[in-house]
Amino acid sequence: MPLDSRHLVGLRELSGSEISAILDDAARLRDQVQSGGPLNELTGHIIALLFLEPSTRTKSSFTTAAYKLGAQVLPFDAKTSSTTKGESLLDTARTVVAAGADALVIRHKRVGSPHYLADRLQVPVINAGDGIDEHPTQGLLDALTLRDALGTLEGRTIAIVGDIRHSRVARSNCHALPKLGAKVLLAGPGTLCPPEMAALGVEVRPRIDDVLEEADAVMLLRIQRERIGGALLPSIAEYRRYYGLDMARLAKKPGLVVLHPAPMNRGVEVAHEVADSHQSHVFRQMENGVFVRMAVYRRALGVR
Amino acid sequence: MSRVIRNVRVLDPRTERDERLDVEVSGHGEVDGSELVLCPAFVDLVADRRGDADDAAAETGGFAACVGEPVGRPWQVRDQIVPATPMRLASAQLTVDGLGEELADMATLVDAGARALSDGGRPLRSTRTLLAALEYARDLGVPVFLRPSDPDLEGAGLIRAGAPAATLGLPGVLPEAEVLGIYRAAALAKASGCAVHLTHIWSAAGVEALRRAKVDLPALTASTTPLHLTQRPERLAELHYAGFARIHPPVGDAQDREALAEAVRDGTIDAVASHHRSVLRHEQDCELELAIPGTRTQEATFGLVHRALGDVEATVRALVQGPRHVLGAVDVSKWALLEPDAEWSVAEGPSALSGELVRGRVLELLETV
Repeated sequence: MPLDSRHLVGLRELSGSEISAILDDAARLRDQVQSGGPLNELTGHIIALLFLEPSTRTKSSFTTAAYKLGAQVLPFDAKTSSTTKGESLLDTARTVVAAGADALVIRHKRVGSPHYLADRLQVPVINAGDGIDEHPTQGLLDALTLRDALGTLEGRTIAIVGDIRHSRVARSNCHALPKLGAKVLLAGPGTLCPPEMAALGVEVRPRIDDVLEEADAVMLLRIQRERIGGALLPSIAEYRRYYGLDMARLAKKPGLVVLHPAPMNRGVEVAHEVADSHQSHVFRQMENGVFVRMAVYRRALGVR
Repeated sequence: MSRVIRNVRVLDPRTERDERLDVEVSGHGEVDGSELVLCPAFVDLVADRRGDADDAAAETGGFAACVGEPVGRPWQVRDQIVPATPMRLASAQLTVDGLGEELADMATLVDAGARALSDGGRPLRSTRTLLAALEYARDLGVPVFLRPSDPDLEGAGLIRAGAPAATLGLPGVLPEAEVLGIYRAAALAKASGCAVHLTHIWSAAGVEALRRAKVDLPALTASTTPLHLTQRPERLAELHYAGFARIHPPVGDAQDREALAEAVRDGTIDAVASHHRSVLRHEQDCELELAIPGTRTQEATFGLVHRALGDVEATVRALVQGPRHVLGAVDVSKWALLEPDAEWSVAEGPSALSGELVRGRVLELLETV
């Protein structure tokens, strides 16, 4: 049985029109917030944030989104919870629901954890990142930021560069952007950018210079330092040379929109000056994150 | 009293018998057998035996003999190997606790009745230890079952690498892990002179490697499973990444499944083993990654294999003759009465096979006819 539409487990499961509806609602909420309109649609609702992996910006963003709609957040501390005593994820989630949560936001290292819970719980489940699979609200906020910057995604070309293999952000974007009419180009070292990603309807190319010329926007992914110097990447210098976005490359593309899911490794995948340039939309992405998550809460809790 | 099954197709791949007969069996009355097949009872090369429910499942599925998962310690011999009934044939560990480090007391375990040696589907990490195990096992008179895989390359994959892994966001297992495992096992089987049987063949690339390996070493035998012949990787998402959906090694894509079916039809893969496994609920009532793989498959094995192969003769050969060829003599006199075109569905529930449509049913196991 497919999951019902209150849940947001991934963008793989959503149609283009469902994604567009969330983006439209997020844009409307943004207008409403910016014009100072009242937003108390979720007053009386409790949202549990079950973050079983470290998170600063995503957790803050989900928290702010809840407060802006008048909802309350049920704090959950992974370090002191019963999960450290061997309690199963399902029992932990059931406990949180029994304590009164009306919706559950979950981040977990295991792929499919949100799907597994959504199939078993009575309350809506929102995926805030499951292993290397998906980070759907990040994909949505990226799409909203791109739509704002480019006017539309229809017919636009978006490049994603870096560690595609281990990136849930890349995967959510690969599921979403083609459904919104965009062409997606991926580039990264052979160890981190598998050709099999083409199964998602995207194109895989070797280096950043192979995708920049055609791209209207580029999303740079963070290179985790523990991957460098091992069997996956030889050195930072080599990565920067073939995959980093510096001012020389940016100068050739004056209209290029630059995104990054953050935190950024300045000087590795993105030059310091690029990160602070007017072409960088990184902090707009974070702002949009709150509005997208507000829209996802409204959808989850059936507010019209 | 006798019962007559009229005009039944009698298929015995052991003697290449294929004819229509009126057959008398115990009971009374008369049955129209024109849509039915009578063949020697199936033999299962790998099936976990945990209790009477497993014996009942075997019988429902047409199996009269099953080789259980391996036991390893000599003290287990007394309780678990002797006396062995056909439904509870034993296999014994190749290495202590299946850890691939120290050789198990293989000779003691075989003398006590073990019919095969195996590490229960765990590939040995050390090639040197594998060679030693095969050299030691060579003169014991039973086959060594190996799941061919390069454990380093296989890693902690949960799904077939390629499009399924990319789409579902799970770590993938490359078919090349199986290919390397097949060549390694075949080379060492030849070097040691040991009888080796490769289990769990799952990929098209593995089938191709197996074909080549068998040219060089015709005594090499292999089997696959009903799950790998029929199940799609996408089922993991359809079952919401639930633990009970986990199958290991992972099932292949459409091309892999077609290559497996063809290999069973042409005999490159000698047998199909059910790999029936009753797991405890808590072992699979969890997320995919944490689950212990295992599915109760015996009841549906004939129907699944027949659906995949679309060929009743090849299906019977893979369940009757193939396993006997691997094991040698098996003391079973029962026959299975089959209805090959009966379509039915596995009951809905927490299982990788929940709701699965199968084609072919075992009506009953008959005593000597």
